[in-house]
Amino acid sequence: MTDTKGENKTSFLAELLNKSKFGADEPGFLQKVRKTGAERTLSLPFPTSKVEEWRQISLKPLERGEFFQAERTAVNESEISDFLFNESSQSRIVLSNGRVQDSLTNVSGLVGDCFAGTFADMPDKYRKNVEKRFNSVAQYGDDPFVPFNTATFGDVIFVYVPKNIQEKAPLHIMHVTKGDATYTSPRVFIFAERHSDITVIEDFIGFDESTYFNTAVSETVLEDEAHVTHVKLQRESTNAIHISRIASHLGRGSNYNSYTISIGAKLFRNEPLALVDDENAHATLDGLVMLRGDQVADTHSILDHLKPNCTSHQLHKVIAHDTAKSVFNGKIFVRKDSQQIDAFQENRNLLLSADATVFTKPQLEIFADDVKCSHGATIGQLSQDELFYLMSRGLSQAQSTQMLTYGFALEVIDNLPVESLRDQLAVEVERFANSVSAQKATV
Amino acid sequence: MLKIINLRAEVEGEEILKGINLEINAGEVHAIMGPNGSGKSTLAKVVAGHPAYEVTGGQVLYNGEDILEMDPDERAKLGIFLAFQYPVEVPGVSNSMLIRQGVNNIRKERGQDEFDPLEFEDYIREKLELVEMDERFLDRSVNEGFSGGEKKRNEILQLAAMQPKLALMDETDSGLDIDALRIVSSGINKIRNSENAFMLVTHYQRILNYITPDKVHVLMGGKIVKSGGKELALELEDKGYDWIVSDLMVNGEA
Ligand SMILES: Nc1ncnc2c1ncn2[C@@H]1O[C@H](COP(=O)(O)OP(=O)(O)OP(=O)(O)O)[C@@H](O)[C@H]1O
Ligand SMILES: [Mg+2]
Repeated sequence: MTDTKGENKTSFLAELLNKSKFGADEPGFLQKVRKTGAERTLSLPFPTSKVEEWRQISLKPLERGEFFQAERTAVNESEISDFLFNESSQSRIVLSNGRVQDSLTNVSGLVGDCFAGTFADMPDKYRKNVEKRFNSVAQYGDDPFVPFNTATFGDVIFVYVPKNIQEKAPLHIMHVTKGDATYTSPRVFIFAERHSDITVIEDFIGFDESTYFNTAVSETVLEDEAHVTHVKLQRESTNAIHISRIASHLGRGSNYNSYTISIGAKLFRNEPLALVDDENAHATLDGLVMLRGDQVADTHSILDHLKPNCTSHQLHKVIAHDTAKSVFNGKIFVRKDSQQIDAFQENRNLLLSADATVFTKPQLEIFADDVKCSHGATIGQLSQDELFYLMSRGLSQAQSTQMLTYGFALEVIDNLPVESLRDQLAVEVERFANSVSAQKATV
Repeated sequence: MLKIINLRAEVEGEEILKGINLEINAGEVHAIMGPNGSGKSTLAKVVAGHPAYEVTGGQVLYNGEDILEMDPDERAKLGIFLAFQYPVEVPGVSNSMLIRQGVNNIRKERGQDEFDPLEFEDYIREKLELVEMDERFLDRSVNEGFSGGEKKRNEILQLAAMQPKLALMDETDSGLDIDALRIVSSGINKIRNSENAFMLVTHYQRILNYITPDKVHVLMGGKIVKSGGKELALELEDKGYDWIVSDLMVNGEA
């Protein structure tokens, strides 16, 4: 670590960790993992803006805040009714402040041997793979947030899909945060055995304008020919700070599709990490970020092609309004012997105000010679010609803005496999675009 | 219906329209011809309200009312329709969504009930038949990936759906094969009546074989330099534009 300044300072995360307490009644395996996380948290410096990977955003709002370990709480069904998906009525887990809330949780719709729940409830036959791979995928470099999450997680949700099982019901994991000045550390681990298939939607929900800090980590292990679709839906309160890692490890012929949809939070840092570690695998890391007010969203992704004959797709779309700020840093590595890689990466930014800012850095690092890789970034406003075309058909400026904004977002939304999720997002985009055109009308 | 008086317009500081005078009455079809870059599309877009063009002088009266301060959607709601020379591709916005919203806004303006999705389906099916277009074009993004001819046909579909009073058709015939030209022309002829009017921008006589114009105007260098009956189009096809220029020089007008 070259950043001496960071090293001398007591880490913000270490302090937070020292203030926190964890039940001694949890399974020994989790206690052990937690301990390694704690040790690592204490040994790593807190990132400053001098660290390359953190240069574009400031963690001051986090450091200045006073946060406490979230207390147990309960949410009412009415509080989350707007966020539910019909398709998941019997494949839903609700966590409030990091703890499973049994009264709203129902996973009876999952097929046969497919499991989703806490470690204590998990069938013994799944332990071997889980104990071997849990916490082995997400850690990367000197990042202290994953260790912090590991040291402080609440109820970890384990999802296990056995060989040849095609789970049709999308699993909806709702991480609900209630209360001010709290922090929680949501953690999910997905293990998809050979030739299995599942869709998991991780949904982060906050209320009103409460201030809190969440570090979220999810890990997905895909055995050969497994298919996993992972949706991260970040709709935290607009004062929340949310820092997350979505990690995946891909086996031979596997197919991993990750979609991150970001609407909420004052400060959102997201780090997708896909390790494409065997041949004929495919990874998608798409994103849609909608920002207004003074929201900040930073996506730092790593897509690592460790083996030949694989494909990847990364479309990251950003809509930024007001004085919002977006950062995109997407690294794609193609290792020396990873021939015949087809990697697509694009970051498209739609600026709806002159004061919004966008930093973008698509980054290809290719060490193999026989590959097909493309990357690019665009930053633009709504097209005047498109606006005129719609208005010449009798659509008002507001309607046109709304349709075009929706049209921009649609490319990502359209790929989401759950209809009621798409419907909810259509409403979100509409709400977002309306706030834009309402403001324009008053200028 | 439309009266343009000494209209001047510029784009990026360059004057394109240099004093246009034109009057089109209900029930009439006027053809506008002229060389590339002479300002035909600019004229159509200015009448429709494109914000890129700055009007620096003159008036555009529509049923006696100056519309130059109006937004494009207000003009559309009054019954002005522009069929684009280059229809814009709008990714992510479905054709049916656009047309339904447009039609409903216009219906509302006219004091008619808005269509619900089912009523709209019936309504638009009729119009699709008129231009012999397949239903699947409704679900696609507006003009995205449409062939040149399909884009033009889509403009006529929208024209048929919106039932304008004044249609500005900018080279709708360009890029159409013979069958498409016949379909589009007969579509226009069916829409044509004593209460609406057409301004037809074209380079070719052939569409005028199907749609007989009441007047033909030649636009050159941002001005209408010659007007005549339908035989003028034949003459232009035959002789090009040069003779007009020399005529003007003889008369000392250029
Ligand atoms: N948005 C614009 N920006 C810059 N120049 C423009 C713009 N629109 C039109 N012009 C210029 O104005 C002139 C007239 O263009 P216009 O499109 O009206 O011609 P036209 O008569 O329709 O030609 P064509 O027969 O080729 O369609 C051209 O020189 C064109 O380059
Ligand atoms: Mg033109």
